[in-house]
Amino acid sequence: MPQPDVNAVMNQTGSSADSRVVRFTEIFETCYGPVLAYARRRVGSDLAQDVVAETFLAAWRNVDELPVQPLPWLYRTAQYAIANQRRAVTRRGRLDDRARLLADSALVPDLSESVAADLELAAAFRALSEADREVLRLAAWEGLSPAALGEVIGCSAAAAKGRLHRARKRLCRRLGTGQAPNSLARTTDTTAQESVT
Amino acid sequence: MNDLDSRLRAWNPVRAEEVSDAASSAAAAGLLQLVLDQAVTRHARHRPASRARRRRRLSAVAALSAAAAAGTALALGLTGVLGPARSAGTIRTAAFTIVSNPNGTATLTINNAALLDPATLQNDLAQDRVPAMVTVGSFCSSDPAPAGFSQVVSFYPATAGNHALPPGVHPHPAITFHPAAMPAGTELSFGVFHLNSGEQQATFELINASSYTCTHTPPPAPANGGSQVEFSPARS
Repeated sequence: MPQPDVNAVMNQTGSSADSRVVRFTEIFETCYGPVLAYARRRVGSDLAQDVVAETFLAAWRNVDELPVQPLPWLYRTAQYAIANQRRAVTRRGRLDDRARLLADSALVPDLSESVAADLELAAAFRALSEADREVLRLAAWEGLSPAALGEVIGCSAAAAKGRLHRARKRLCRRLGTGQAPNSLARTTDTTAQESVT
Repeated sequence: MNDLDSRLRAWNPVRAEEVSDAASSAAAAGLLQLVLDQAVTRHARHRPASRARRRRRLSAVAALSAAAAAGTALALGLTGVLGPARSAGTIRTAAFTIVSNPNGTATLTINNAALLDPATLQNDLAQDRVPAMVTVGSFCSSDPAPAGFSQVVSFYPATAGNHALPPGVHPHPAITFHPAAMPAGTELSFGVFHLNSGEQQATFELINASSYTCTHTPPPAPANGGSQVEFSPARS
């Protein structure tokens, strides 16, 4: 990728900051795409760049405390950024199309062909709670393992697995299908990094 | 994998492969530079956010968002819709981005050489104290060329010497200029040619501002200590 003048930043901030710049740059290059996808899946392309910018600014300001696998941390921070966007739009009371998109708690994508082709799933998904929807999105779209899922939603891996199981069960019930709702939990047993690359 | 899994995954509105190259975009490069320009606030999340700090944070996010939005506009090819924009030491046009670095250098990223307007680029480089003669379809050089080119220009991706690009076409090369290292009385000659292959070729050299000659033939190779790079014809 085009490289910012990292040397300039490093020289300016001193040698103790060198490792921060290198680490953050590595994280940025690895995680920019997944975080952008995460944001676009939830708020669309227009607002995704705002969310990504806020997320990586927070990451830079907390670079010393980022976990070894930072993607779940970034997803969680992006959740906060999306919530900030919602509050800001609500405060301004701007009920234009973008505001309506954000105010819609469902945030169900409606532009892809697959969405149009699966209206039944869209209706059932929309009827779930936001917590259920998010855990399903994180597993199916971000491909998170139960451990990473737990980091994002703030619980243990076992609890995350349970929440995913129950969300799938409720979605199956809405869809009127009797299939076993444990496949996602089983098949997404990969690391977050692996799933998005 | 059962039917529900297939349906949920097929419903994914943004596939991973759609953003696999996102980190190499001009928008990402600009965002990274702007974030790195922000001061690190250690343990920020453990301190209560004062109203003033919250305002500063929101201002920084707004600036970053504006820069990211400009990058997105470039990605969407909104040429002509957006004019040159400057924020936080950055000039963005559809054709190129110039970032002013804290140490006095300036980094130029070519977004779309086909749209390059030499006068605009020359003026914008001058704003960053880089005296340049930007030409399209011609190239100017001095004989002998002034020494010191490798101290004035560095490239990314770079070879070991960091003053020349490896062979091949580079979609969005980043070029950093060090104006303080330019010898007195010199300018940077930056000549762009449209090749028969459809690529654009740019050649850089230091010239004496008072003594140079120009040619309308693409120089075959970097001469007199200059450097040459080929751009892809349009931003992918």
